[in-house]
Amino acid sequence: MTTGFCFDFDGTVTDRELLPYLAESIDLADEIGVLTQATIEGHLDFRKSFKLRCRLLGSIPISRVNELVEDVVLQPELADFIRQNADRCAIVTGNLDCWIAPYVKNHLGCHLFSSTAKVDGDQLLGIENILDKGTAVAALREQYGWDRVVCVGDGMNDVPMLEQADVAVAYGAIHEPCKNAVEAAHYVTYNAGALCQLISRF
Amino acid sequence: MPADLPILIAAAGIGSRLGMNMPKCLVEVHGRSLLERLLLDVLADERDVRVIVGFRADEVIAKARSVRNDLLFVRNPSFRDTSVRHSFWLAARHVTGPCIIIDGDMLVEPDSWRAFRAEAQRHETLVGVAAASTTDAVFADVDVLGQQVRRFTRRDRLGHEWCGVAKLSPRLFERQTEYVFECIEPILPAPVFELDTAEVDTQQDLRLAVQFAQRIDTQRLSATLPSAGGVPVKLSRALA
Repeated sequence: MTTGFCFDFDGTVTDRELLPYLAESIDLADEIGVLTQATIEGHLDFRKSFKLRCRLLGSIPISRVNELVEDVVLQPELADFIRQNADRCAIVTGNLDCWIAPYVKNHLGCHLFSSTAKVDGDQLLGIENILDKGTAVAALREQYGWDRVVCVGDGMNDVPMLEQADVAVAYGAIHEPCKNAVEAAHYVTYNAGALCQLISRF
Repeated sequence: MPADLPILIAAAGIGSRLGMNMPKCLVEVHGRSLLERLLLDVLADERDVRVIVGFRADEVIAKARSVRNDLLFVRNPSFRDTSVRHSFWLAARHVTGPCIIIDGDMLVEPDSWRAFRAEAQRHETLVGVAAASTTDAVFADVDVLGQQVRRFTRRDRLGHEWCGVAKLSPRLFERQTEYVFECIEPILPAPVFELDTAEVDTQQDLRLAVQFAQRIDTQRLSATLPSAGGVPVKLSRALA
């Protein structure tokens, strides 16, 4: 049996939510932070909130975002697991390809399913497609022939992914997983060691 | 001691016989909850501890996390309609090798646990029994050498009872039985080990558990106070 693993990115594999961090550079950290938190908890629709946040952050050149993203620290145990199982792991994120694809490629080397952006050189023009994580899991299963899919996430937009999973884990790395993510999960943990102990057995 | 033998704690049930409208594992005996005692006093050295939650899961998770943060919680959303056996099946189905199961509504004397754990190194299966004391016991028929349990019975009053602790293959929980001991029956006779435990199913059990907790707390205190002379700790391997 081939098992594949899908991970949310911001706050699951990384030590912080990315958009509030990017917003610090244009002095909108609090505003984006509030939007991000409300979205994680399911008070705001992810698609609308993400579109708005990207509009606010769109003034930052893509190359500058790529530099800022380099400051992000990965959860060490989880990152090791992903690197060691790169062919069977995918980052499944609502975040934009132009912002995080270079980072995922260089630091994790695994598959990436993300939202896609319309760009012009170094300028973000808008969003081409916002990823539905449930659809992404089905596509990954098909594309890579995974018999069993383990999904790990914490936010409201992870719920469709967790619902598609054979094994669903709500992981509260830097904040509580949202209630709906917990209710969609088979397992709940707040510790990278406990998470890796579970997933390394698949 | 191997660090990665999964320890599965059943803490999903309603505990209706106790009648306290709270998860039994959160019931306090001699000032501390059963779950806290289990996680801190008994399982502190175990690295793969999985707590199965259902009834008032948020409270059980919060309590467990206040004690230690490296736990894996297994959800049993259908806890109202399913048995402890089902809870263990949920937790064991992604486990490949043997695991140890423990009821979350019990007290285990820590030295007794350590002795069980050491003995478990030598066996693929090791069934825990205790001196019969609970009000609704499943009695264990142990051979005269104290090496094997031959059968379980509710009808015949025997000197030992199934205590809710065992090292087992996770595959045993695939059997569609109501009770955990029924999952073990097909592999009997099996190696047995006597533990020093107290289980809390009823108010009468709870009174006994308070006395039990007082005893182990006194032992622990004595162990930390050399000038007190020390209270001999009973290593409950009486059957050997």
